[in-house]
Amino acid sequence: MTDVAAIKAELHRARRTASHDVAEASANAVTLNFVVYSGQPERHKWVVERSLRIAAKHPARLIVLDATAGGEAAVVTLPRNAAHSNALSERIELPVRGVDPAVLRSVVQELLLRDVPTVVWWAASGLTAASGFAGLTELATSIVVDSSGSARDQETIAELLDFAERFPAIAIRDLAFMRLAPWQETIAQFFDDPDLFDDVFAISRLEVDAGSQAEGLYLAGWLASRLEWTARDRRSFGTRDGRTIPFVERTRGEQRRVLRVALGTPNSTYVAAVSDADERVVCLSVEGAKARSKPCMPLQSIDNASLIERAILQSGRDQVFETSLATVRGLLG
Amino acid sequence: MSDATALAPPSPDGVHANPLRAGLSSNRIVDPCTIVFFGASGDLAKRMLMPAMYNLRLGDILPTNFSIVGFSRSPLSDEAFRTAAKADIDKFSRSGPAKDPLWSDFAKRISYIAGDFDDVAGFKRLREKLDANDREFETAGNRLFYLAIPPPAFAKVVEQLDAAGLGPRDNTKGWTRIVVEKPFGTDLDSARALQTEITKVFEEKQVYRIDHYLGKEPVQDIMALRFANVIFEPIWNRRYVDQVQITAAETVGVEGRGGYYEGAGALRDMIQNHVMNLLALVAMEPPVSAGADSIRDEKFKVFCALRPLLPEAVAKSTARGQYGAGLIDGQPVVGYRQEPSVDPASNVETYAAVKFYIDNWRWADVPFYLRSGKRMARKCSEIAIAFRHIPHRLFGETGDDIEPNVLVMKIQPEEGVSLRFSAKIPGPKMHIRTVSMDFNYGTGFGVVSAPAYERLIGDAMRGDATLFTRWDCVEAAWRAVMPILENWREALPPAFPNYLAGGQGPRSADSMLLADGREWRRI
Repeated sequence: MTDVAAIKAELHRARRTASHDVAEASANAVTLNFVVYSGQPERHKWVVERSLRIAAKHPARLIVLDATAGGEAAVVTLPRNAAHSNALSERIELPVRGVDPAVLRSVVQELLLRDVPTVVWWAASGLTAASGFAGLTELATSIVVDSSGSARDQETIAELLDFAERFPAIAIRDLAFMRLAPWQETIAQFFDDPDLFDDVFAISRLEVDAGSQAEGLYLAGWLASRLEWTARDRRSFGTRDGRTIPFVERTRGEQRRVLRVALGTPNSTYVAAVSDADERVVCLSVEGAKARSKPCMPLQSIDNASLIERAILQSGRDQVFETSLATVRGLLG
Repeated sequence: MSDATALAPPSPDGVHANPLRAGLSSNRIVDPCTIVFFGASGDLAKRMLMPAMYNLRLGDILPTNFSIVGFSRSPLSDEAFRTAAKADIDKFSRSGPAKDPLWSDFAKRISYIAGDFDDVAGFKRLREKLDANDREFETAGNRLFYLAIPPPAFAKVVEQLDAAGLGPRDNTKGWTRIVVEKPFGTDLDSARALQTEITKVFEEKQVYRIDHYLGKEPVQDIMALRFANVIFEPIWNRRYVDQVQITAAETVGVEGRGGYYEGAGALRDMIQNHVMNLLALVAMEPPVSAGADSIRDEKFKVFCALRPLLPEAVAKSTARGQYGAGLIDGQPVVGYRQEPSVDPASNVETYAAVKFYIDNWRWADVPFYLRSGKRMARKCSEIAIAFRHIPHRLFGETGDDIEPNVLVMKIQPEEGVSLRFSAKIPGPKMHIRTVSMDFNYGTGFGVVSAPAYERLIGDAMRGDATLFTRWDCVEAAWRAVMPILENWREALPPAFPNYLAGGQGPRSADSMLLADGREWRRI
């Protein structure tokens, strides 16, 4: 797999063939390098299929590093975008199981197109502990990881914290955090109401029900960072005026999905919960002194594929994520 | 104020901002609001506005608290209007049929008032309905009135709103805005008269004159291309640009709107608003900020710098045409004079072409060719910036044509940007050939652009007037085209029809450019 010259020659040959297929002389538009490290055999097929679809939509040099396979030769293809003949993606699949991380980094570096962003999607378990992660991500403009959905969410987030400290220039997109965007919006909208606005500063209890730990940690970290709370321990925050906010996590439901968030104040409870009738809808309620009926709202698409696309389109570092991650550090101790 | 409240930074109007919103990338509109569609049973509301509202809901862009009121002549109950709205959404929405539970929640927020625009009682009922909606749906007194009605009724509705206590002066609870569909007047005098009527009730900042072209993604990208890149602006001037061609060509005819079109024509219907807005975006100076007024100030300056067309110059600087029978996509179509509700001897133009000059430092002597026509060979809206020829030819011995560079901003049906440049054909000789580098929105970002009405309705609800036309720009655009309207009214009309449906337009338009040593880009 390390024969970079052969891969480049194959790319050149494929490009020449493709240019003969179109009647007019034209230039191609490529918008990014998309490097995918696939390390979970049970998800490999899905990861490759999804990567291809994304590369077809966002013309890219797609480099799939298949850590579930070794030995075979690289595969080079140029899937042409059906809607637009000039959008020509390049797909290079490399079997990399057992390949030395330094060699892997060197090969990928050779294959990257210059002058376009490089997005690395790490579809494997573990981060800094994994061989190759640091080397690959050093080449990236941004990395896409998912700290959610395994038995070791906490450890993965801790590794991400280390990585963020070591490589502050690389933008991190954690799908576990991005998955929370509709929930953040839903929680924020409670306090757009001028009559309820003051209650945001009176929150005295936070409950999150989710299928994985990462979502709960991030949601708490986000809320705390917005309101300048600091983590006291794994189960509580402290406010600037000295109050203690208990943080209750319940693990239930599907992995990577939040089911319910409740914010308690001394007089009211604000609840956002996934509808029993439709999992794409979240129903809101305010109970207690400021009780009022609230509508059901659409819960925007949170499937991994959509999130990865959003991660690719996002540019620059995400300050909200970074401050939330820093707050989670306090929870993890 | 509690100590914690001090965390929230005050917004410009002194109200504390929700700290949970800081940094959120959500597009949801924060202000609650009721939107009232006048002309709710009309074609625009059916095909565009109600589907746009539902898609805004699906996209989680509508505020949490909102309601919709339809106002029209048709005698419908709330339930019948909801049923009709559902059928329209199912038929015309880009996201397919409306489904529960979101549809149920959306539908319960829709109500309907049947009334004539001069029916005082109807507007009284509207006021009662809006007050009730404020209580039931917590819409906080914020009201957006959308005039999807024939232009002659604009002034009447504004007057009735004021008389019913629905104008901004009487609304002490929230904001009041009005969206006015084009055309804004039929000439300079009628536009001024309409403006006078509107400003009796609404301040300029409360008036949103809609030009749906400005809501199209590629039109907004004109500013991004110019001002988010450093490579274009240095050559965006008379030193490098030879000419600019702005085209808005349609394959459709008048589509049953013959009655309206007979009083309009291509110049009023397209050039005075859509096409001139594109001209302003291409030609304007960099605004000091991305704020609505900064951008509109610069557009206004462009209109002010348009060289007035003297009566004797109109014939040389304009062309008009009317389509006769022909073929569109291989199918026979009738000529304009055979369309329903059209005078069989009509001299209304279905094609207009105008040459403008912008008398300022940047664009002196660069012609801007504008054209718009119905029943043309292809649907094509674009802005083509044609650069000057190379100053010295190195490769003349091969006999290859070295075409000037052309930057094309494609608006519809394709959306994107292409750049034509010259490249060497591989081989021992220095043969040069034109190649095109394309960027296409759909494939470049893998995202389907939202229809313009979704963007514009959302902006009006947000209070962002950037993509709406300010009165001074409307007035200046009318001033620019009035000499043409007057000349065309008085001069002997050409022998209409003078171009075939499915063609490139009238020969007189070609002659206009040939006289300058140029030719139109093929549609």
